[in-house]
Amino acid sequence: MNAAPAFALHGVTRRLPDGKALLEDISLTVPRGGILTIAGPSGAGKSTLIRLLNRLDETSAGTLEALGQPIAAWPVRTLRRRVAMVFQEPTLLGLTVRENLRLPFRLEGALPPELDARIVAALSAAELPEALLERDAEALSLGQKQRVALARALIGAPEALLLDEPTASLDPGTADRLLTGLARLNRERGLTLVMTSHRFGEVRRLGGRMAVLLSGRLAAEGPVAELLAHPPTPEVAAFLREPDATGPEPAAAPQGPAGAGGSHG
Amino acid sequence: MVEHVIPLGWQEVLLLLGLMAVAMAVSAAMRLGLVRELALGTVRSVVQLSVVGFAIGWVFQQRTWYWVLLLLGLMALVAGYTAARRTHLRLPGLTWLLTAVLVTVAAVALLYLTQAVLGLHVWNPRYLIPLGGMLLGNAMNSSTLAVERLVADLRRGAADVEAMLALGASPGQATQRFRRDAITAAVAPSLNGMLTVGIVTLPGMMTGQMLGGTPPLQAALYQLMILFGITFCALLGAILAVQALAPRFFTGAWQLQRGLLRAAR
Repeated sequence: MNAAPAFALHGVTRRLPDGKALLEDISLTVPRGGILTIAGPSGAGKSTLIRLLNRLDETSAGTLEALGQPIAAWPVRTLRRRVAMVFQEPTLLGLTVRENLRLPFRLEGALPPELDARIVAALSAAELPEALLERDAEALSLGQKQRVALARALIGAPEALLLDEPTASLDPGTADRLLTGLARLNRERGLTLVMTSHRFGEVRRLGGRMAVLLSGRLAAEGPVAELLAHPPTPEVAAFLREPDATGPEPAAAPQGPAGAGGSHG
Repeated sequence: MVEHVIPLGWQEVLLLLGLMAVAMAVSAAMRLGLVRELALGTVRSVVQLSVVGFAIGWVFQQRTWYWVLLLLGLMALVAGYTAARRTHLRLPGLTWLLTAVLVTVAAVALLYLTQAVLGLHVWNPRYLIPLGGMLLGNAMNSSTLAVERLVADLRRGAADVEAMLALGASPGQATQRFRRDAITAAVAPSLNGMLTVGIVTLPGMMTGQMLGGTPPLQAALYQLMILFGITFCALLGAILAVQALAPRFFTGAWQLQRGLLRAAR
């Protein structure tokens, strides 16, 4: 087993070209097979942070290691295959569910011989019936679409999965099933999970550790139950007291203020 | 049997201005708020066309390669600048990039038309200048349309592009659909023009030639030459512009630079 953590951040900062800091001096570690939920008010930098982990955006300062080596040392495609991502709004890109699941391999230019077996495995991991395979992806319900996006992210057998507000557009029951599935993947496959969330109930249920971001800074980090029970600072306590305080990112304008690469959350 | 052309002089221009005066009077009476625009347009077209008429007339008399090239180069530069400005993008070097695209495309078509089709063996500005202008103008229109469409689609589809990137797609793979749509949209007017030419519209050049005394069939064949030339330029111009520009919105690490898209308005 590789002992290197899934992600190790030291003094990570992300600034816009105009100098405005979206994230400042973030240091934290996510062990392999760990669960980290990133919480914080709208605009605190949750999405900005998670987007650094598969290098959709670039750090401005600090060091960021992913799966044991500096993130920039990975070939981009390899990194994104091993660190998969699911977005808040499911973005389905093929016509049918099957085409969506084949997409990651098509991008690499080769379909693996055991493709069908992998499709079946990914569907079951995302708790989708096989009957859906030939369906038009656009015609699915939102919850089904999000699970297709999850299956598509899992089909390449990633070591870590990033989820940016995966339940924000789902109803509570659907969100609940998604989380149960994620917890199972973490337990059974050792899949590292990093998720931003705005529902404390979810955060508590998923367990693991929680990082609280306030205005782009890491205000607290620790086991979920401990943080919720004993907030280390009055600011964190104030934030955690608000009912479901970590508001979802505004879906209509997910890019934030102007700047190369955009700012998220 | 070429008929005699009725010459137009400054006296006739005064009579033509009468037409615009009536248009302005109608606009004023109906409070359309177009008087200023009409006046400006009238003055500018008189000045620009007179200057161009004199300048080209002078170059026609010179018949030397460098004056022809200089005038064509100037036209290309103005076309490139206009195209770059119309895209509302703030990308460094965009004017030069588009100028290079227009020059390449127009030069290929112009060489073919003048050397292979017309068999010109002298630097005859009477053919080179109007043909060059027509080819440049159409390449300019289509490349502008293509770039505008590409940027609008990328802005609207940024989430799709990033979803593709997160699956391991290269920028080329992530923008394939957008590039194709931009190119087909940009050549649509040229294609429509080919289908309706002679039925719905008589092209300006053919009309001009017939007014100038050319027999209609000759004018039609010349129009055919122009039509094929400009369709070629429209397609090639759109392709080159889109292929050259699309990668500029990404970093070497396959990150979408949303800021560059946004500076776009």
